[in-house]
Amino acid sequence: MKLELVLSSILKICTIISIGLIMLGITLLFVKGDSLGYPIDILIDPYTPVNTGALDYSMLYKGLIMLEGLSIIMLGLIVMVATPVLRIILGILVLIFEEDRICLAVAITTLILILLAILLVPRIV
Amino acid sequence: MIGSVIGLGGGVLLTPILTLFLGVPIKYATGASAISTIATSCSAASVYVKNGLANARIGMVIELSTIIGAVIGALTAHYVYSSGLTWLMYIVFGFMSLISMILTVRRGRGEPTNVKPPDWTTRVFKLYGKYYDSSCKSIVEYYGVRWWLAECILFFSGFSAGMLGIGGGAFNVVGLDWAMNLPIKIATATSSFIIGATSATTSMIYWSLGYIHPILAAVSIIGVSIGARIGARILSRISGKRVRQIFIMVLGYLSINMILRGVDMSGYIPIPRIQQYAISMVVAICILFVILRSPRIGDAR
Repeated sequence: MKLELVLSSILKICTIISIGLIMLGITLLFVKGDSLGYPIDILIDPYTPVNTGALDYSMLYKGLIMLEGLSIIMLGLIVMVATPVLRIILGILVLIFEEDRICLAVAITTLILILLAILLVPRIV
Repeated sequence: MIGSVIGLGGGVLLTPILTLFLGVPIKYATGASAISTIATSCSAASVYVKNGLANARIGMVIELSTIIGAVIGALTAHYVYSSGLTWLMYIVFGFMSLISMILTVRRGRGEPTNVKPPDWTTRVFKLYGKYYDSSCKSIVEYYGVRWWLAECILFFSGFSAGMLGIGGGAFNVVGLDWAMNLPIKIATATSSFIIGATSATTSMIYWSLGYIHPILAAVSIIGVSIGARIGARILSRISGKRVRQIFIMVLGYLSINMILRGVDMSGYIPIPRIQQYAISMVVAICILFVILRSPRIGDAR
């Protein structure tokens, strides 16, 4: 029973935080008209070169302190992507607590695979 | 704007709408779709896990192969894009959404007849549970079998999810319902629990490949979340069956249009835009006729 409650609330909280951040970011972006030196026309252009591969993390981090719309949107997106991973980690913690070894092994393998995907893929492509 | 439609359908609608009508490159469309699938999956799963329809334990032991599939799928997509075969993605997408449409339609037909006794995987992975069924007003106990077969099917669903940025829910349900013999309600709910992890893996790879357009993804997430709310409200007011029939027709139109656009882009057989829309519309109307003639399509999922 405990597994269900923990997972349900983490999914809900993270989704709300993420959507809140994204909305805040979009509002700031439209109020200001530009973000991190990119004018809004370039940012909303469907063929924009400004994508996750082109943005620099240190710049995003600085933008966060200066309340830049784009940085806040990106933070919201990161929270969104991290939610399921967080869910797996919490699930593993609950399974450790419940001493369910086989399920634990499968869950840990899953997590390792995801981490490998994050860390290795950018290097091989 | 697009959100209210999406709420009824999910990621499989978002990519064609973005590419066909709003002129977004398919890379960015699949990226936005993958990331907004996480949003829908997480908010749905949090409800399903709480009311006991999604079995978190089954979800956690079964999502292993979808994740492997998603990684391989996303890398395949990268390979296809970098070898200049973008048109191929349109065709693959069209066929995949046709397949998932057919799977969704067939789902309404009758209960599974091949009920298997619990096997060793049921015991080892504790693939059982119970839920309160509101239509029979009783607590139903269930168990899952053939874990390995489900893992094989879920690998395929992960692959398509990773390649096309969709959730792969229709394939997940086949794995959970048909292979594991789980009740359909449990299968659909557990599937939306799994989709979060699949789409997160896809999104992370897309992220590092630069397929995510931040503003487009942000707007899609918000659109999809609002759309899901409105969609749920509309669904409860008007007949769910009618909505599902319309949804099937729209999906048919979009899939055919995606295939035609892909054929056109390949340069082998040029098809003017007007003809693309016309052919898709004709096919969609044919689908509508088929649906209307077989009244069972669109019954309870």
